[in-house]
Amino acid sequence: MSAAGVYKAGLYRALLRCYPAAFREEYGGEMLLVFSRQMREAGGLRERARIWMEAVHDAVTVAPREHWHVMMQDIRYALRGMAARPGFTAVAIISLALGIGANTAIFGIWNGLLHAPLPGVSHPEQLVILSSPDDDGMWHGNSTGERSLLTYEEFEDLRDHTRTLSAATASESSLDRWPVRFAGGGLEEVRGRLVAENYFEFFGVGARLGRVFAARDANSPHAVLSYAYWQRRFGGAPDVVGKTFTLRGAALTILGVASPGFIGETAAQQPDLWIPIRMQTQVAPGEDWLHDAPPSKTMWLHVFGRLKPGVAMARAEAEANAIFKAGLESFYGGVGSPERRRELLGQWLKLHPAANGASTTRGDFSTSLTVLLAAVGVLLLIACANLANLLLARGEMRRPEMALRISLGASRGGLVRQLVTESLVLAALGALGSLALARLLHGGLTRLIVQSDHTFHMEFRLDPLVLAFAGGVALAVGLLFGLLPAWQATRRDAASHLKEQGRSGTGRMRWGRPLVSLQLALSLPLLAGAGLLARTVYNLQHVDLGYPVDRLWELGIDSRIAGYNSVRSQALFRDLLERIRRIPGVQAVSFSHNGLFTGSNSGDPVEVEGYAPKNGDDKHSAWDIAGPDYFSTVGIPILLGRDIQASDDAAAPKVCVVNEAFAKHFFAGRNPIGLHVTAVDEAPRGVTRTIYQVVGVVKDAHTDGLRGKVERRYYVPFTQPQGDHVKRANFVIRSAGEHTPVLAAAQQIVQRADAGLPILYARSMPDQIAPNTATERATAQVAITFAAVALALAAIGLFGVLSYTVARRRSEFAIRIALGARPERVVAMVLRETGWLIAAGLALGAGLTYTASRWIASVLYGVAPQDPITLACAVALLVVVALAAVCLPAWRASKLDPMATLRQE
Amino acid sequence: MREPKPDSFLPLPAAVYHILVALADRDRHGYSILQDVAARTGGKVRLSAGTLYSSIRRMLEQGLIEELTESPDPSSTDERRRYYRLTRLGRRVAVAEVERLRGLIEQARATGLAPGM
Repeated sequence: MSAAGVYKAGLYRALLRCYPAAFREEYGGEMLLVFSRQMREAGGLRERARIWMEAVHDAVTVAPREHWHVMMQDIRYALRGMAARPGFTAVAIISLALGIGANTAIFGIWNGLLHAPLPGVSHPEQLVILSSPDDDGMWHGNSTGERSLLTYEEFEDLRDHTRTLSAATASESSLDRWPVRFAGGGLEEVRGRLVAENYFEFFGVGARLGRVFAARDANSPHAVLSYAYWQRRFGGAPDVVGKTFTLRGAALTILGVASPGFIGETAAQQPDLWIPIRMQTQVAPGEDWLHDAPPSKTMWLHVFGRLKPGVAMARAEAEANAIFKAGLESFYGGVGSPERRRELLGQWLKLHPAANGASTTRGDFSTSLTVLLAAVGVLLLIACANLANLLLARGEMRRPEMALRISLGASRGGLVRQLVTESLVLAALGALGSLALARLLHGGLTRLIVQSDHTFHMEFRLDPLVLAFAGGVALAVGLLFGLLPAWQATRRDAASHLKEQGRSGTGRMRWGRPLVSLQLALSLPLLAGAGLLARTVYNLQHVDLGYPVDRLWELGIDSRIAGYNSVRSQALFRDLLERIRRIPGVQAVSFSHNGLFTGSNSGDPVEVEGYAPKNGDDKHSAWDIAGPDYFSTVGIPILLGRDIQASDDAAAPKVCVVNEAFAKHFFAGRNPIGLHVTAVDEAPRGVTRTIYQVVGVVKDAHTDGLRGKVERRYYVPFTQPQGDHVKRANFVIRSAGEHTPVLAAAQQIVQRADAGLPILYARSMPDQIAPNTATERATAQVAITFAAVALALAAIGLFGVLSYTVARRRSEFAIRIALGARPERVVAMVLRETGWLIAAGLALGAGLTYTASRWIASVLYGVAPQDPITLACAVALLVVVALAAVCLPAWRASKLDPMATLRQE
Repeated sequence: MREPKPDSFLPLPAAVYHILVALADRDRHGYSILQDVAARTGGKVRLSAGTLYSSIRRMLEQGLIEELTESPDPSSTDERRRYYRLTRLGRRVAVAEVERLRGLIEQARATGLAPGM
């Protein structure tokens, strides 16, 4: 062949590299022959160019088809192989599905709540929030320090005077539950929010149907439905636009339906509808949250802004503070004590990036979700170790087959490719299973979070990040744990494999044992963590509240919304008290302004007779307004003096009852009875003082939260309130029996007294407290589930490795038994080896647990992160399960029939 | 194992049809198939080496052709040459394809689309 011919043949051989190796080996030589002959017989340059073009064309069209063919062949082979080993296949797929599924579900919620931008909002990266994104609610009065929520007038000021923000909008910080009635229908509850009229325009959200409200609709009785509510309540009916409904007497018209996917400005909440903020006085009659009348402000809004291009956060914050402070100056003027004025004028705003919106749930669940994400990461590691073990064992089992195939001329590359394909098919099926599992888990997790935050809402969405995560993990697991055993199985030369074939020696599985120890080690922190969380829940559920909660019921009403003033409210509450007391089965009834575990609290500075405060905080105390016999009804022991009585009316001397914490702080060593407490209302337009004489001291009781110390508190009779506070009553009812219908009867009494009186809630005391432990319960339930799965996976891994080892050493055990070894000795041998695996796993696991425990310290209650009892229980459980997993293989080893086994070998 | 029905292979890809036709009268090696196809079609159909051997691989798997263990041409000195022969199934499939094509022409003729054929 000429030099040119050699060159051309070399070039064509290079093109042949595009084909799969097997095809090339089979037909490469022939193709080269054909090509050379065609070139030789070609008539001219044009003909030769055509042949070259064809060769290149084949390389880009035929070669990929051949690769596809080989891949499909490998997949078919892999599926056949998997079907032939259903046990192995099921365990491998389930391990992976559990590992990836749990991660996908937790990651989805973690990402959605903590990191993902608000759905359906245009340019979320431009958004900033001028209020605190972690807070919600409504505060009447004054505030100091960093401001969490803003008033409507403050929002208007910021909106009208900003030069650094291109726009600003406001929304009610908490999601309201409104009783509404659609034409021809009954009363139903919707979740809605009052928002500024530019709300939709600000977020760049259009209408799916009808239109969204705009500036011209500011004072119109309109509502915009969310897409989800439109679908759920109206089945997506197009005639919904123009329909009317009533809300506390106001008639509102549906203007349109917002774009699908838009949930508003708060992450993981799904409002049913939005109403223009200026309709506030109509949807909450008797209240004015839009105008601040000195001395107090109504702080209830989140305020969002869009940064103008090129404007830094710091500049926008400085400008917002300048506007805000100018507003404070004009509001508080020159009134009040200089010290108080300095405090009030010292308030400031902090800007936060708001691409992911506001959320109180985020703060509540941030630590728990991060801990759970770490836990499922560990679970995935355990699942991967399991899969690696299974694949390694399979690789070992198939060594003879691989040896035979290599000796028959199969290429090592081809065998490795085929084994890796099998692993990838397993991983792909595992990933598919994981998506189904993730959906199930997402539903379960969402329901758990809803127990603690009833407004929580998150659809299961396969966003690209989650998909990439699941796909990436599956691919990595498939490649890594496919390649390693494949490389091992095809490593040695064929002859040595064949010589070894049929002779079972000691178990090779060098990787298997450390992997099992690692699995056990990783399971321990999960078990210990789950144990600590379970003990936290137990401790929280058994906190000594200072009063018995059984047979205690609570019912809350808000007389403000129904249009009652303070005087009429007092009469109403007195009347209700009498009527409820007459319900059969009621032992005692009373009420208070803040109630028990309602989420409401009040506090003010006090001046205490004979006490010199060290600083501003030192003179602060929580307070409550209570009805007669409040403490005896709730069951809070009276340590000194007496309860609040019906005779403590408006005409009687003003009295108060203080708790132990109050007495210890302000009256250290002195008898408080007969001494005086002055409630100070430092309003800017003048300080008002109300003097109360202490008539009783009660034992400390948890009335607001389960964690931490009981704060100092004083209680005054509802007939002698400080300021104008008698607008809300939380009735506490002590019943004679456990299951009496007193609550239903009490609700009927309230409805009969005034059908327009909104009942805020009516629950048993344990139900009232339940949301306070819901976060911990949810975390513990999920952690226990994951720990159980981790333990099961580790047990399967241990069982698999031990079964394999016993199978490999059949002949050794058979010889030992034939030589007279008793079955117990064989069992002991197997257990001894297992003992080392378990001991190594536990030692490593204890170290991991110790290191990891401080991560969850902040979510624990009443138990130390390194609690020895919990750790001992986790270790014991792990050992018991590990021993149970090795029992069957050990028993099998001891029951070998020596003659039959040796003959077989 | 039961032989698959010839109809299940139809319609045949052009390359497969031409290879079957080339092997109908005698066993051939790859280059001979190419030459035969080019000659029979007056140079209008020229199979590339990639298409030829990809088709041969598939046809071997489908049982349409078989590879001969010995060269049918005793005078050939090139041992690298591999010869292929039509199987019984291959022949039935080729006939079925011809019948299918004939049917198509009949239909065209009936509508006056191809009067001279």
